[in-house]
Amino acid sequence: MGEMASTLAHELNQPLTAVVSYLNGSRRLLTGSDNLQTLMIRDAIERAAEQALRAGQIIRRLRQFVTRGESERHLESLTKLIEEAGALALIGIKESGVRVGFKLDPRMTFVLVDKVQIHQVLLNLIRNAIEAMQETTRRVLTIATTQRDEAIAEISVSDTGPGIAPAIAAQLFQPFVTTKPEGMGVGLSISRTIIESHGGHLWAEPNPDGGTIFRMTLRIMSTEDLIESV
Amino acid sequence: MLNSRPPLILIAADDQSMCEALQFSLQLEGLSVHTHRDGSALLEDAGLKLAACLVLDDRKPHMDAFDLLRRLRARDVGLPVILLTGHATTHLRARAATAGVRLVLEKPLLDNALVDGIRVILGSAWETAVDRQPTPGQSYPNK
Repeated sequence: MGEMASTLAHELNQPLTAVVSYLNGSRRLLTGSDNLQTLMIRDAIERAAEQALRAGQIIRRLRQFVTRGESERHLESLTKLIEEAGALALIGIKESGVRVGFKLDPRMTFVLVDKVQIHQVLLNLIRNAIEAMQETTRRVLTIATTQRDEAIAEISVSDTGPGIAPAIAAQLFQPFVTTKPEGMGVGLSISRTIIESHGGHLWAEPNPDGGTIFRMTLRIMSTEDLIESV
Repeated sequence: MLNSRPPLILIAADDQSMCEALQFSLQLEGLSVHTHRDGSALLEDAGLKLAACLVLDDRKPHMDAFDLLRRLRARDVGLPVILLTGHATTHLRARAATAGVRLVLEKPLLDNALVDGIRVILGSAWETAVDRQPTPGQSYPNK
């Protein structure tokens, strides 16, 4: 599984380098001209370059956690992680007409994770859920946490979209499998790789209310772990 | 001006789209660029004698960049080399330094590091040859 993430990271280097080269070249071509349109194009190029930088950072992270096994893991509050990822993922949600509910287990749970990676997974699941509901009339997104037992926290992201077709369900976590016209089909496979590298699981099941529930587990840090880590 | 011919850069990398993109950005800087799919093709390039700098990707299916470096040294080609790699480990950097590589750059290249690196390596050769503003029409890479 780590191998796949590593391969993906390496494969993305080439196109990303190409994108940035064209951006840098275009920026250079616009030097010296300062009419309004040129300024707007320059601004757009800057923004595109920033996003390429962000993609590059994600690749570096991915590569680091694959090669080192341990990425930058710190003790994080699960509630806070979910709230942060939710805030990021739900920017601009109003227009989509999706109703969002959080059902977070009030028991304070700490997990030892790479925050950026877990954010990435949650962002991916939440955005997928929102996209899945574009065509449906009932649009309810629910993000929930429960403590399954002393050691395992479960996080779920449910939507009321059309659900996943059985043909896709079987290979949902394979790389390059996607139902989105613009999608690459790597989000879920990378997400699973990330969660498994944290000792958890990520899977999908049908939502009894219609739609899909993605569930993932993370190991809870016990009080002894917490004391030891201080 | 002593020499108005633009410095020639040879690139060997197996990803054609990336090669073309690097060529585009380097040509805009006023450099002349040849691209090759792999090391063996680069060795066949007649421009090798005239080149100012080589840019080699370490991810080539046919000839490893270090193989290519050995072959170049065997032919007494002492051109400065920039190595592009997917993962610049300490080990790789040390190996590259031993092999005489001037600069190791990690992909994805997200800034002007390649242009800047070439500028430093070429030094005054760059300044004398490339002080004209390239025009887009001239510089656009041939398909």
